Amino acid sequence: MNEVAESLLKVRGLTKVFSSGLFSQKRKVYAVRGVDMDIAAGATFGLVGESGSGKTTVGRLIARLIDATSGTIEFDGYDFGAMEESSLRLARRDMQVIFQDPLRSLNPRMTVRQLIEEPFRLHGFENEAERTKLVLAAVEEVGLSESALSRFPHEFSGGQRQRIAIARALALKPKLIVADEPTSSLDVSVQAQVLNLMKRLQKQHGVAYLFISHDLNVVRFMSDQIGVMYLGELVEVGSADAVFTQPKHPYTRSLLEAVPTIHDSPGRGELSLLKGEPPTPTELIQGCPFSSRCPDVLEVCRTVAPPVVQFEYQLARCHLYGGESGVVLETHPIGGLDVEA
Amino acid sequence: MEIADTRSDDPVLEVDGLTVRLRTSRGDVEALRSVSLHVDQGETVGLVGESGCGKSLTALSIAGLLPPMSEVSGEIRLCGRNLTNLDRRARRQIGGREIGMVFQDPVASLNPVLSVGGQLAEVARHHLGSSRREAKALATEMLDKVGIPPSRNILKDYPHQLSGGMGQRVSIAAALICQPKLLIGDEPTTALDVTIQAQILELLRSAASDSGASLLLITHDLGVIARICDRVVVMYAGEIVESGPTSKILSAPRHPYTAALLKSVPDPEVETDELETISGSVPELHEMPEGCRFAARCEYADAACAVDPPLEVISSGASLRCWHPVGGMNSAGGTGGLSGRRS
Repeated sequence: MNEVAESLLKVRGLTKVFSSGLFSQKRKVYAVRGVDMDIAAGATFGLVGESGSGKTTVGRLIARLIDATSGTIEFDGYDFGAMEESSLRLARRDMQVIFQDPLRSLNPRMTVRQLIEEPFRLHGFENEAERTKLVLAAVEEVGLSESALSRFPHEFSGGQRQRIAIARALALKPKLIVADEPTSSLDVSVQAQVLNLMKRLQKQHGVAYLFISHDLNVVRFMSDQIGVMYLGELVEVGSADAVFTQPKHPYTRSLLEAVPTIHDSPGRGELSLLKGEPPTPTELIQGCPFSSRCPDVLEVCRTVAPPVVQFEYQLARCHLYGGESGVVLETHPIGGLDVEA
Repeated sequence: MEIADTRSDDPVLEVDGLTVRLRTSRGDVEALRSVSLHVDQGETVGLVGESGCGKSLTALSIAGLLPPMSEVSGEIRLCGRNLTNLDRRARRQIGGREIGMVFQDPVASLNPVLSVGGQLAEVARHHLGSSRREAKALATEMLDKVGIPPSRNILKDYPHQLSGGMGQRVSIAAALICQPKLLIGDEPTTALDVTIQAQILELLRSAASDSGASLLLITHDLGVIARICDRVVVMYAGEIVESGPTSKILSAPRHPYTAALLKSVPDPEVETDELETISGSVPELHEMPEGCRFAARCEYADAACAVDPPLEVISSGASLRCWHPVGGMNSAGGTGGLSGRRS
């Protein structure tokens, strides 16, 4: 974890507070709180969590689709988080986004040719012949045929549409692609094709992925580093192997045990049921956000925010290790959370 | 409860040669072809396949919820009684009372303008003829059984106010209120988070066994099958291709489709850089090929596959539809050689 210097993306203290409701009903939703994240060039950072954990919001914040309440986003050496709209447009060439539902994210009135040509046009490829050549190469690269070019998104299956979205995202050879649940609406056999394609393109082009998904097995297959989110906080970060084989945070452990795999046998489910449901993130929680469901909860967890503990291959935000097996790094990085703005 | 002409050794559910034709804008299509399966007393059976394979249509046929334009042949027997020759009214009466159904999205499947209490009471009053008071008491009792204690006080809540997990608990309560013989879950945990999914799967299993219902679980997720099903039935393109005990099918599948499907799921216990994929795509319903429907995507296919393989019983409780089964020593396919190529 000492490769911070060569990070492509460096996120510190990323926080997003939404206001919802009207007048007296007005409430704050603490969607993302104090997220730190580093992604190395050409690597994949997998972000997992359940609905409402804030993983999608983190992706949208990093891509600057919405603005953060506080925190910094450094991308490719630039202060991406503070960029003005005009320079942001240029910088976006290096950071692209893929969404879960390509039918909604691709303009339905544009043909595949227009869709893939658009990024080239926007970024100053004036020569039409050259553009056509690039579009053809892009389509071929994701495994679609030339005949696809004159068709519209709705004429394709889900897997093919995701290929179009990938071709479009990759067109300008970005350094980072934020992929938010890119295979969640696909059948497993098609999902396998899309995941393989994303891996192959990563090897060829050295693109890094922020891969956001609720599916732990998919994230494991794709990622070098994994971050686990709960109620807006990253509760554990580390190498994919370490997080999966020696999870430190009780939430990570529960999550891994809850995932059904083909090696399960009937009855195994009752061993490790996590009780209850996550609380709503409408109030700043005292202590650890997981304390209301944690099987290993201590008295201190309910009142004092947990420290970040460093292990050999991962970090976990938990009271359980109070100085024993790990090194306590900070008492609470989001302690004096400055989010009243 | 009052089915006179049944014997206790009849399977709870028997589907025999079920074929469903649907009228579509592109002409009639055969959406289900000769589907046969059974669910025994107290058993949990999984029905698995990818989108469009006909698994949900099978469930709807069993529950008597097919659209009116569909043409059905074959038999569906519940505890020995044939449901297919009953008129619509009698069918619905039995369907509502003896078959409980839980769908993927509780907000969409529950009545949006009825409170949770009203929802459950309606079922009790309609099917059991309970009085208002009895119905309310029963509703409270059922909610308690599905893990919502009276202290939660949700009887006056409306479906949209419930979280996905709570909504599914209410659906299960509604499905079990008449003590059905059969509980059908159609992707009941697909929209839920994994920790909630684990709770609901466990609840389905325990609630079904406590009330003496058998469970037919429809899902696309092989992990879910592994976790709660005793037996599994695999569907592809409107047909059953393979069925058998879960552990056997998942560890040593015989049909090439099942084998390929299992390998395309990312498996945390297998270190790999590339997932296996199934080439091509599922044939469209209106252009189904002659012969084996998987042949065009199958790595073992040869000339024999132009002839439709029958669904044959290969051992007790296991059946298979394939000329060239995968991985067995005693290959059922006569041509040999090809089978067992995959270790």
